[in-house]
Amino acid sequence: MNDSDRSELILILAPIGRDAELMCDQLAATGLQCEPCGDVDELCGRLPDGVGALVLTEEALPAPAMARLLQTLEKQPRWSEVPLIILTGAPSFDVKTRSFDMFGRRTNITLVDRPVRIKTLISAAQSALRARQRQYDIRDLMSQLEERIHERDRFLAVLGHELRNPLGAILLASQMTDEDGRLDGEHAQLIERQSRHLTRLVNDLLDLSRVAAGKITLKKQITDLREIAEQSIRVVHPQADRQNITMRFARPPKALLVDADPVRVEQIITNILTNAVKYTPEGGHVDMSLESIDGRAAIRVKDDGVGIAAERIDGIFELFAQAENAIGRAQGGMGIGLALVRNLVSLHGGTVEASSDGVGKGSEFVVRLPLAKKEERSSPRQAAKRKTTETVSPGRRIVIVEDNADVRDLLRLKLRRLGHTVSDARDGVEGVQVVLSEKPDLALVDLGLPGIDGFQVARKVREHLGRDVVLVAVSGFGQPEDKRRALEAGFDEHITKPADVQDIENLLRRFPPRNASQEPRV
Amino acid sequence: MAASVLVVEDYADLRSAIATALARGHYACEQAASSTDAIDHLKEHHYDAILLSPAMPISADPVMLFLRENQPDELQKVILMTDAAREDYPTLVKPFGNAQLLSKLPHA
Repeated sequence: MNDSDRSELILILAPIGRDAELMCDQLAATGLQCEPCGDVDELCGRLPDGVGALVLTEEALPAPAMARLLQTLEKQPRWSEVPLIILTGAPSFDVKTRSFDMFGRRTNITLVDRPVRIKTLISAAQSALRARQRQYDIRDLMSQLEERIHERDRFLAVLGHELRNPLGAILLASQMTDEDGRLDGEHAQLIERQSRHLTRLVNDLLDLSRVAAGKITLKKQITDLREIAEQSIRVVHPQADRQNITMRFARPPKALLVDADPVRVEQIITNILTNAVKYTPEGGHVDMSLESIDGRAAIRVKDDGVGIAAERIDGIFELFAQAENAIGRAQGGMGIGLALVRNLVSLHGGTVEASSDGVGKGSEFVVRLPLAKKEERSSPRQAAKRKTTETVSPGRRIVIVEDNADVRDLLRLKLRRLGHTVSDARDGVEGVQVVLSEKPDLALVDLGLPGIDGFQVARKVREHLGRDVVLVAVSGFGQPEDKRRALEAGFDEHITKPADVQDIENLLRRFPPRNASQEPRV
Repeated sequence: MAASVLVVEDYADLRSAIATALARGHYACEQAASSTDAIDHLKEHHYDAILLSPAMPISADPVMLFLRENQPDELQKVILMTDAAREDYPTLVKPFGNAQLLSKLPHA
């Protein structure tokens, strides 16, 4: 029987006279599909092609015909039970030879006595077809479930396979204790590395099943993608280093804000980076960039690795798409990562695409997420800030440009402990870069820097950022002349060394945030 | 002379752990990270044992095919590292520990 067929054809076996044709006409007039059969062999021959119901006269079923019909009906697949409508009451038929009991309870039979009212025949036919439709529904449902079970079995087999390698490494390494029962560093590191790998596998698996079950809730907040991108790089770096792969990230100068769950976005980016590293051989490169296009943030990861064959690209985000690949096996992976990426991206209302020029030609993955709308950027925290300019608001952004490492480190630590966000630089050139990219509230600049000095730093910063940043000069000389020079060079204030935290807090109080719609740092 | 073993395993950390375990067991061990690598080794040397993590099905594994065609006598040196025990070849079911590993090998 054709497995995708939902035939509603009614076959009629009424070989005497024109009964069959007459009944066909009557049923066809009501829109039912109908065809007469010449004998039971023809009927049985047509059953495997798909049939909705059978109408038979009892005189068409003497014992041998009945046996033949029964035999054919036995061969139906489990979901199938073709309904039979048997017309009884033929005047010439011997009651004793009636043998419908042979069917027992195995078949859907309706007995209709003749003379048959057309209404009754039609009602019986419609009822039979309705039962048949339910059988088709069951058939289709069973087939879907079977497919899902097979998928799960394949999944479990791959899972088992992928767990055995890390576990094998851990087991052997854990047994490599020396005579004193100690384990050397290299083996301890292997155990840690493989344990983390297993953890990631398990987490990805659980996440995947939770996403599929609709159980993941996103904890969305306004997030700067640059921070998340950097965090992801930190996670993937060790593996890239082990393979001698260069990871590059072009951090954009402006914040790229999205309304997203930072943990999940980090998972997305980390999985894509890990994938890129996995499929790039020794000495290769993985580049990430961020940009804003058409109201969406785009995260682009490009590698010069093994690429993706044209026939595999469409299925690349499917579960196990990579498990067949030799390199994927060497690094250990089930191809869960990309399936998870697709699900998480889609939960955020974004899209992800993969492209490649072919085998050996590297690949590129692009994730697009909606940008946070302008209204969302001004959060309740901003309103609170505006009200409390008398006290120092927590979370100000500060840059320290100082070549003395001890001074720099100490100041940074103290300021961070107070809740400020601090970046630093150790010379003039780096100082300018950091100030321009961080756009802090306040920057402390040592005047006596190597390379370009503090005055030049101030000039360059003013050139690009105007008076948006509070610049404070720090020097060992406290004469009025020094202060004047500093102000002329563009500084807002001058303090003498050593600059301490109290000085800075005073300055922050004196110079409240300039830009009222400054993005909050997450 | 120490017995020699070729370890053919693409999962890097497992391969190195096996190699260390073999060295400690006083075996002379060489490593291959891929079938091609393994075949290159087999063309140069004979080994007392070949520890192989095969592709599935085994009949399609490149190393097994190479041995069958070129060094059929070496097939008896093969010990498979797989997910399930087999009857056609000696097997080490992953994950296996040090004692199990050494028990399958010819004496050092």
